[in-house]
Amino acid sequence: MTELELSVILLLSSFAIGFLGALSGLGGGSILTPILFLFLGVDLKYAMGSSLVAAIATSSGAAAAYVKEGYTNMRVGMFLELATTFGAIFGAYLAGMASKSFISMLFGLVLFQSAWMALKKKGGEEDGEASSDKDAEWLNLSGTYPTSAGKKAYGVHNVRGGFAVMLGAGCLSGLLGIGSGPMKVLAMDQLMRLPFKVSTTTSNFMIGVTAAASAGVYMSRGYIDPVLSAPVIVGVVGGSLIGARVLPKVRNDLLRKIFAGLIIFIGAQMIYKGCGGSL
Amino acid sequence: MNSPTDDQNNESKQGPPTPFDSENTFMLPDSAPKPESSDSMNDEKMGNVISLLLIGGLVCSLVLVSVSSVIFICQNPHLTTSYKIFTGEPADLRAIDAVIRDSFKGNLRAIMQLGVVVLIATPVARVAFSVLTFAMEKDMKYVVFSSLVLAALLYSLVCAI
Repeated sequence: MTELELSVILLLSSFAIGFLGALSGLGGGSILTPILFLFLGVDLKYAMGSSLVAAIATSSGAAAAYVKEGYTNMRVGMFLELATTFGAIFGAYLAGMASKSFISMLFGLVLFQSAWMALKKKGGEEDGEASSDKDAEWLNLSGTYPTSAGKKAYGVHNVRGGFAVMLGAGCLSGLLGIGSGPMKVLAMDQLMRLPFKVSTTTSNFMIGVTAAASAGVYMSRGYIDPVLSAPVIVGVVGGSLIGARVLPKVRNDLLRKIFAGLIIFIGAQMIYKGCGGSL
Repeated sequence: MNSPTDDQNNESKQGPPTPFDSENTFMLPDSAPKPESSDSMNDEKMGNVISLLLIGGLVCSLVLVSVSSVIFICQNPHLTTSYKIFTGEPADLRAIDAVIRDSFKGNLRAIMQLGVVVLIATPVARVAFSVLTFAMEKDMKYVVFSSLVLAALLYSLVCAI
């Protein structure tokens, strides 16, 4: 395959990744790693480097729109970034020591778990209370977000639980070269009981910072290849900008299905590869 | 900029204006928050600037990356590189200072990598800007949070220099 062919394939798939990443809050890194690794035969370390780049590009592209429209809860994002950033730095150091098949397996299992959690939650999530608990009150985390019926207020809960999960999410992010979107979305959606669209968009907002925390280590280890990264950036930014335009019109239950479907699909492949690699 | 009189000024806004008060209010029309909606107003304004900052970073990165890769592919139309086996990037593409130096020499791979560096720097700039905004809002909790995040990010990026 020539560089040109590879670039075109990466550009097109990155466009789709940016689109889905902006909608699902997954960041896109977790979709690009298996595409590069499983379908294009790129070594997992290069794939992880490019996925990190994709996660940052999705985050910036989508967040530019979501922050302006008022979906993103910037205070929640910035508070939780504290946990993900420190976790990510720790995880990135582990990445050099862990084996490929182990990382693949772990990645797959994390994704299965995430899908199960997302589908378990049934409808009616939009009737959340507008009041926050004490910790969230102290941190001034309550917010509003746009709905078809205008701005709607919501409360934030279980800040400590969310923070703890984010430490783990950050660590996985550094370890696997993804923005750890699934765990971010789940922690905000299920533990902290934010509206689903606020969870996905705030996850998008945070992913760039979590990924940037690992980027220095990845770059110094030589994981980030410019020829692989360039088409990824262009494609992902285009896709994420379109995705951010579509999000206000998409219903929550559809978003949840997209979210769960994506992570089941990816998780299955990574577990398969992880088993194959170790045999 | 923020003298103690600013606070007095905001708190006593409804009181009878003294010459000093009105002068300060006149000088700082934007930074004088209205008591009832200061939070949401400031957060909204902060959101708009953060949005612009992200777009600015993206545009710079996109220009660097797309121009250099189009030229690169035109110059090497039949180049094939295998990424099947990890060999790691050459030292010049691993360190930020070397990437910047080689970019000025016109090395296309370095310019592409510079675009990647700008992309990585964008969220860092966003956090740095948040520290400033929270400091201006005197929201000390979030000044501490965002400063710690910024410190961790800078520590992480220093590894690459």
